[in-house]
Amino acid sequence: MQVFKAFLKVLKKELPTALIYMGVFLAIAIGFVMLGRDGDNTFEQTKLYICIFDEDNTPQSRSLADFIGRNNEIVELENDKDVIIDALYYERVDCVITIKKGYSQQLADPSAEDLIENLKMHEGYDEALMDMLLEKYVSTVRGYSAAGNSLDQAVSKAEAALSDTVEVNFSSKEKKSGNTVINAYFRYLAYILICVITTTITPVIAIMYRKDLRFRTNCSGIAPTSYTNQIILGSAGFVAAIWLLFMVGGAVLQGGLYQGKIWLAVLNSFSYTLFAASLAVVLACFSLGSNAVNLITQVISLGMSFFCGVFVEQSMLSENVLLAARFLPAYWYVRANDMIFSDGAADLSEAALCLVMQLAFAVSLGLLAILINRLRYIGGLRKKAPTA
Amino acid sequence: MFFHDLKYFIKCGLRSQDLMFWLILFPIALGGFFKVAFGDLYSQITDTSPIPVAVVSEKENQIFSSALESVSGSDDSFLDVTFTDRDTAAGLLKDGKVTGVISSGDKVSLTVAENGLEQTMLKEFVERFRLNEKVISDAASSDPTKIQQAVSALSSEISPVKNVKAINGNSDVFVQYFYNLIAMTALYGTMLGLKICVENQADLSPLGARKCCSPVPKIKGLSAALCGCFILQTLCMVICVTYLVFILKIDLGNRLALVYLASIAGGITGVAMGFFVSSIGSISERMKSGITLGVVMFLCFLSGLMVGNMKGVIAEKAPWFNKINPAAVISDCIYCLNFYSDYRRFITKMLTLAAMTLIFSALGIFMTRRKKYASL
Repeated sequence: MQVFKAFLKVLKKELPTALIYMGVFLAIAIGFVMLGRDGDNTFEQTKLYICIFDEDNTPQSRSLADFIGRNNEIVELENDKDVIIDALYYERVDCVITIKKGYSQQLADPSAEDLIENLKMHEGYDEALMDMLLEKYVSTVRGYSAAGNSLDQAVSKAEAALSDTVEVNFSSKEKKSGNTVINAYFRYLAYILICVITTTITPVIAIMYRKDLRFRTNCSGIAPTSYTNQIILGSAGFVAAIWLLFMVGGAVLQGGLYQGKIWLAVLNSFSYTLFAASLAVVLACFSLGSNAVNLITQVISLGMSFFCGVFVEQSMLSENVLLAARFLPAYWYVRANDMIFSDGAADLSEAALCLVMQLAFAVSLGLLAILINRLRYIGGLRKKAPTA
Repeated sequence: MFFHDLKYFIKCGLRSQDLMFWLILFPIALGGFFKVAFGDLYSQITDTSPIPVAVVSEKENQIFSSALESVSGSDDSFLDVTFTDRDTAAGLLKDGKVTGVISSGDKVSLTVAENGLEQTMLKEFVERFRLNEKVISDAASSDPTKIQQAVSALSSEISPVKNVKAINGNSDVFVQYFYNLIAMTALYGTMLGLKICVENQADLSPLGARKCCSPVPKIKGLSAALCGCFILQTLCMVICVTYLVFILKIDLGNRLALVYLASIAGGITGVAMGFFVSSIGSISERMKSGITLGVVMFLCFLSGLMVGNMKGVIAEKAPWFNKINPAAVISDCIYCLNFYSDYRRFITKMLTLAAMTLIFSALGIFMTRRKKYASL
């Protein structure tokens, strides 16, 4: 097993890169777990991040500010144009509400408009929701006022009425299997598996098949088949170890052994790992330097991640992009993953198709690697052959 | 001699495949990926198409029906209503075809399958209806003669809210990824800065050793190398911005000449930063390369290259850092050109870049000069 030992020695030198990738990935995953736990099966109202400037500063305006803050997060901002625009653009706040001077005087007047200014960056649902809240408050106060109440009475009655919220029924669905964090964890594996496996294994295999090394080994008593088998063993062992480590990491993040459908995700990640390993072997055929391998790996892993729905969900990508992405294995990996983590029973035949597609990519790349090696070998022989 | 050194530095730089890949091809590839991923996202998040909802009429409720009619029926309506029975509605909700199911009977109720903004808006709609009912019933019990006034006050079309758009420029939040891509490309100029250091430090490369033996004053060689790097980086920045604006059609505002200027200034700062960082200590080229790239990527991360609203988070927790982070300053330059009609903030940012370039270059030269080696 001399070749195997030599393989491990070379691999040891490349390990820091793999460890850095894994460490950063797991640290980010842990961060996400700590930030967001899944909610239970009850309705939770979406909270907006609002900054309020109360120019009126009366009991009525303060009452409106209290109402806004009841179901939303109030963010304090400096009343400076640059600060406000930055906060809106970088989504620290969804909108900036200014209760204008004279608000309380015109509050009861149904014909008075522009009492409140809603400064916003976009015209989305967030902003429309804020408008709905403000209009609901003002119209309720005006309704009570028109019904013969004084302004103070109208405000207090409106507050009482507004505090009585509608109870929303949550349809009785089974709880999402494995939750969103573990879903994201498995999805992002599509990026990290390629990075870790390719940047580590490719330079090692390339070194083991370096011309001078091969010439020396060919002179030794080790049979070429044994040499290749030992390298395959070393590579397979490393790939399996990396995959297992990620699976253990996922189980730790989840807080226990995988259950139910998540085992399918484990199988899915295994088939993708096989693809990543095949890719590493193909790249190794070109005897690239570690810098070149790094560049190619980044382009392939980032490209597939952006095209196939790893970084941005497939549902958000355009039809044309998804059509092109079908020719990439990450698409099938993410598709299977989304299917597995969707609600209800997973479509096993669809998931199996996705797995088969990934395996087909892995096998094709494996065959390509053999073909390249054969061609290079034949090319080498031709060069050595004496010319007439 | 200065021009001789300059010419050969530029030639060597252009022939360095690694450098040209990271400085030209990688940003081009990443820009393409960003375009694919984020191209349609903004239109999706600002899409206010009607919310699909199933309505189950358990009992005739004329008032609610007319309320529904007023908010549905056209493309710019609030709701896209499907009237159906309870079982079908449950099926539609389960399949994700509708956002919620509103049941109208004696009491209007809402059922949803998940939390979200659209669901919250449906809740607001139902709540508003029940609130109006309550106001009218309260008016009826206190003073029936005022019911009509209360109804007209509640159904008034006059909005008390004045909506104001914060800016006139391109408010697509995903464009910030392209601002940061330009900042990243600019800071990749650190690799060129590192090249100066490696090629002038005798203990890092044979070329450095030969240069140290040559009679050319070091300041002359370093100045030529720095100028060469600035020229190469300027070329890379021009290619990057041109590709984003004219090939990918990214809207970087209508002051394109200043966008080019800011990007070039950022690139020059990147080179100077690389020169300074790699001048520190006598560690190997690989380590220096790792450190400079690590620093660059960390600065880009804090500027929002990987997480879009990171700059906002930093502005909240440590606003001073955004003022000294070169990546944030470069992306801010382009951001202000898009959002502000005046040049006050842009000039401040450009002056910051100029100051950084001067400080980094001066410190780099100071640390590289007069180095003596007992043996190599």
